Amino acid sequence: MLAAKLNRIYGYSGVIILLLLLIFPFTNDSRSMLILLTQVFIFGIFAMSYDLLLGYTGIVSFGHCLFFGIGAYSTGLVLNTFATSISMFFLGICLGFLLATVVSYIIGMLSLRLQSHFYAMLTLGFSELFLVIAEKWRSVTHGGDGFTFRAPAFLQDRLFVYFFALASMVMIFILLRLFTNSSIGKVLRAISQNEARVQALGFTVLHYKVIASIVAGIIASYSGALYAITLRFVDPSVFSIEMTLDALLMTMIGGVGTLIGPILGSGVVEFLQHYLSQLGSQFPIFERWTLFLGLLYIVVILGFPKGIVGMFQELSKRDVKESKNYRKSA
Amino acid sequence: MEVILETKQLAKTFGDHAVIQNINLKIFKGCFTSIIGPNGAGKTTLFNLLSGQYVPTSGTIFYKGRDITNLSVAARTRLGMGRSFQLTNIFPELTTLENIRLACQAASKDYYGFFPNKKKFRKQAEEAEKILHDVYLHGKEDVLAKNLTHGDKRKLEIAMLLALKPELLLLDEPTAGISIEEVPAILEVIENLKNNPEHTIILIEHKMDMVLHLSDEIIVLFNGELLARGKPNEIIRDDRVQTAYLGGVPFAKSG
Ligand SMILES: Nc1ncnc2c1ncn2[C@@H]1O[C@H](COP(=O)(O)OP(=O)(O)OP(=O)(O)O)[C@@H](O)[C@H]1O
Ligand SMILES: [Mg+2]
Repeated sequence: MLAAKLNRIYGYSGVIILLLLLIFPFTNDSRSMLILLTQVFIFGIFAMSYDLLLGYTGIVSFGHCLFFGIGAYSTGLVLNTFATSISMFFLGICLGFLLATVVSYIIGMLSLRLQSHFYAMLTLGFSELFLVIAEKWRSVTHGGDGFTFRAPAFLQDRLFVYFFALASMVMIFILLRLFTNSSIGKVLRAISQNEARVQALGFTVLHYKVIASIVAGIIASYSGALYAITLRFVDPSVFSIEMTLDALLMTMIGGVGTLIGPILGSGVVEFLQHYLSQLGSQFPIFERWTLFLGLLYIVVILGFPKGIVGMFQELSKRDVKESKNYRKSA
Repeated sequence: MEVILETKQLAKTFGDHAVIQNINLKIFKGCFTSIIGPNGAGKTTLFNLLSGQYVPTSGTIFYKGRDITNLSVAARTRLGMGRSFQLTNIFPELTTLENIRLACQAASKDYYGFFPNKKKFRKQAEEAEKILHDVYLHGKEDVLAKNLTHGDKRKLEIAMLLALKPELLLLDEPTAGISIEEVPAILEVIENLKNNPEHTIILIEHKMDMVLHLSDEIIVLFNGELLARGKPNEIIRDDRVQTAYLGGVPFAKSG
């Protein structure tokens, strides 16, 4: 069966890429490449959390950075305020989870029973609110300049952070895959297609959307915590709209509703940002690399609305049709 | 006989358009009731009130003696009320089987699992497979619902209702927009539904031959009001029905 064969090929390529990523640091001592890949993993996690909302549940968020920022500040502040230790690192992450849960629950309960744009607006509003708090509540957040903090010793090692981020990304990918194939996940997919019908089947749609919102919030907050750890610095830019747009762009480029897509998208966007800003030193036009990302976004929306993964799926479908074999292995 | 569904002074207005006006209904357990009436009489609106899509402007609804007027659509479904829709209402990007399996998942109260449970899903899929046969959709399990023919979509609509194992079934024009050749299959499905003594069925239908053949009782709705109710042979002979609904034309209208 061709579809199954192709899926196996994709699976093998995934494993091979993973193996390459595992041996990469030992074959190449480019520090900047190590840092860049670490960023790819972290934003891959962030974009996957966005995909859970956009791709699986059909919820649009304009303020997903809110949870990223909550994670970054929680970890940064806990490590800065208390001792620099592993337990404090985990405490910071847990605090981020707790805050993300509370905030996403409140936003979800307030807006998810209404039409979909209320959630988008409310997350945007909250992210702006948190941005202002981060800038103005100087005694706690150190204001607009942000603050540096010391990370526990093991997290100061770039190599360790690389593997930690990679392992986190793989773990979260697996967990989200299980989640999206669970009873809840199947209902979420159905909600994105026909919400009223799901309700008529006896599922309380609001609960499912709030669960999706909380899970996405927690995972985004985790990626924010990792982000803060790699920079050992936090400033209000983690609450900026650009963060949300990055997640949106990565998800769209890679392919919505696929989980693997957002990871690929994160790779594309991070590498483009990196190389375009490098080109900027020779050709000033490339200093405006956000311009190129904007163009890329338009090209994707108009030309490849299903993203990279969607394109591959189309290809395998065509093959299946050619083989006149409609029965898909479930 | 036991009353399963009752409405008291049920009314719904949109703006100043009174679509449903003070309807008092009693539906008896195990009965097959049909609702007829001209286009725009308010039949679908009445279903939307019964199943919870609309909030009534006034009046109350009782299901098995319990006031359900303020319950959500989902809560009513969980109590055992199920409905099919006049305008096909399915999950277009899911396969036929997955559409039904999802309904089976709901019926087995498998609501909040965070991790896949292969065993449960397989059991639900097996059940869905059976229902698929009951509505003559076998062989189409892997077709995306959006690619089904219109008639098959109508069957899927009924299959999803069946999968919920409801006690009270509200069928809104199951043959709407269907070609003549496909009607017998749907009729047979509905007859099978009727033969199950656990089922109480309310059917909205324009095809009079079907209504007369199936119904224990017929309700005539006209301009949102309950014009008449009675046994099929009583309704046929009713003068008010003849003039109001049929405008003198004998029962011939269909579709
Ligand atoms: N959501 C709504 N808002 C405003 N008017 C509505 C709404 N729903 C229904 N109506 C109006 O209520 C009236 C009755 O509609 P309904 O769909 O209940 O009729 P029906 O008896 O099911 O007709 P048909 O046989 O064509 O299906 C129509 O005039 C319709 O325009
Ligand atoms: Mg109608």
